[in-house]
Amino acid sequence: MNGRARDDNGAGRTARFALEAFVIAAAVLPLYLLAKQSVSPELETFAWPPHWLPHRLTLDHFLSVFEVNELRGAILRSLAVAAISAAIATTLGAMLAHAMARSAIAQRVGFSTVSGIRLLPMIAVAIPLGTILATLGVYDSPSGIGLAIVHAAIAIPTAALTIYASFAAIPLEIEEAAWIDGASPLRIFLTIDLPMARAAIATALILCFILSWDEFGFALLVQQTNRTLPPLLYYYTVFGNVGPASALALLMMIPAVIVVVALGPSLRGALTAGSSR
Amino acid sequence: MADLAVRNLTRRFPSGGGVLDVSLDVPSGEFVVLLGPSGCGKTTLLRMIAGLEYPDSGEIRIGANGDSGSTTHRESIAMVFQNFALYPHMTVFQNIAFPLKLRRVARDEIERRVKESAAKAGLAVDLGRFPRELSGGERQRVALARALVREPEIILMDEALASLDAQLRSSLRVELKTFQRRLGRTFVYVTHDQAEALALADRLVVMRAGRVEQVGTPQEIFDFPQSEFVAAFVGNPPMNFFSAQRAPQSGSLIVEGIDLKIKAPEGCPAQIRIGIRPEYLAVEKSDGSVAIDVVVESVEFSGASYVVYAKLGNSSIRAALSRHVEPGAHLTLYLDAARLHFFDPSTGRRIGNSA
Repeated sequence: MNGRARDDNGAGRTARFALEAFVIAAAVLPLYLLAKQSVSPELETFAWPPHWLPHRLTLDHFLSVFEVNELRGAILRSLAVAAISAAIATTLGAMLAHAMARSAIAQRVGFSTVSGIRLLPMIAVAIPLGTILATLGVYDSPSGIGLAIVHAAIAIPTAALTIYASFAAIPLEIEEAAWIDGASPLRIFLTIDLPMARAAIATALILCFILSWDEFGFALLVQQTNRTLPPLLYYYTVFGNVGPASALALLMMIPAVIVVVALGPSLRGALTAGSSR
Repeated sequence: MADLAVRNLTRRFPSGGGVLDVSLDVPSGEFVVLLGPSGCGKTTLLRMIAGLEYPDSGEIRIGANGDSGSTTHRESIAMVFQNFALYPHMTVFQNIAFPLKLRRVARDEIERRVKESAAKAGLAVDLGRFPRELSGGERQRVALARALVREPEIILMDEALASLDAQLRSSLRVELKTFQRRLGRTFVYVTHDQAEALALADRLVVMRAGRVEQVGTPQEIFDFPQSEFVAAFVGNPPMNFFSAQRAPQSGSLIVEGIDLKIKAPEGCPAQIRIGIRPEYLAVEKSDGSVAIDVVVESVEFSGASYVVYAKLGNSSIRAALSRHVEPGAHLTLYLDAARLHFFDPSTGRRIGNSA
């Protein structure tokens, strides 16, 4: 990040290297074990003492993920729920963020509501939420729309906080110029504010997507039979299907990996967008 | 084309400042400059004319069009902001075309009018470029082209040259003036720079603490300031002011114990403020001049003249002289008595020869 030179002596460098190696190992080892399990035959996964390297390789677990209907359905449902909830949360969150950036009252109310929601124990709203969803007829729906609504509600604060700084950084003069040029408030929001904050909007979409993709508690409660990935993975694990569960877990990481590898630098830029020129 | 009429406009802010009971008439085609120190309400007045700010009371009318804030009102004005307020995510072309797009103008018509407007504003850059790729002067022209493209009746400018460097500012100043003449449109321009105001204005509105202090041509404002505030604010180097007493018997004025041998104007109080511009103090004697002896403190070279800072008794005095003098020297300055301004110290208003 910065170009400051470090004048390390040998011992310092060795110590730092050891620490780094430990941290990397701690992060990588579970991933390695997961990957190993996902390509090991069922018998080998319970071998004692455990093998560090798989003796035989198999792709059966991965194939089963795509062949078993329940798994394929869960993948598609998780994708749909994450995409829909991210779209809803980002749209509403952007509107909230704009109000917070432009009105002192909305800012006060917005920040207290947002932090209030974040402090609320989520499980406390589970029963009323279940009742509401049942009334709406979307409880445990095959499309997962009920869960998408819940995830959208949870993600709105995240979306709003992610976008807020970018809207606040847009000079009021630019919106005023657009107003004088003849644009309506909605038009200003759509043609001036959203494009100017597009990096933050993209970040919010990604964060909300991952938030939904990973969410376990409400997914377990709301999609009792038409499951999404996290609860399904849980059931697979507790019922001892370690191989398919490992394969599934690896597949679940793909969105996060894509985000970090492909969008890494621009994501970092977007997260800090608006803080400086 | 339409006249702009401002009637008893008041807008108060909780934090103080604002505009207090301002009335103003701007005939169409005139270049009006609102001048005053920061916080005098000139920008608030402009923003109310623009419809960006609502008055507490009073009204603004443009020709027969609706009141400020209405759609017809907004149609008849355009505004250039201090930092140009260009849309950074749009190209120059899209920036200028934006007002037309909102009005659903046909595409080839947009194309034609954007080019025409860019040419009028003297914009000679590739219209496909983005504002961030342009220099300050070019951005200024884009902002102007965007204001012109929908042919508003009144163009409002808020310190529109203030963010440019000095050289560019003076060249654009000249250009803006000729441009406004050629276009024949009404301009309302806000600035705190008195030199810019004098250069641009057909009519100058000097404001102070939310009120209009004086309205007049630059020449009138400069030659016959109606208050000590206007006299001090307009002109560079600024006018000299002294407190004077009227001698009981002769009725002539005494400054720092020196009898100026000038009759006080009719009906003036015993105490009076007198002002003289530094340009009307000279080292050469001329008809009707009064000699005063000063001690030179420091000298600044301003290019056209030497600005001499000197002491007259306990008062400081500035003089714009044609030749250099040594600091510490005793100097006799000749004061052009015909160029004196008199102000009432209790009200700050001008006394006598008000033309």
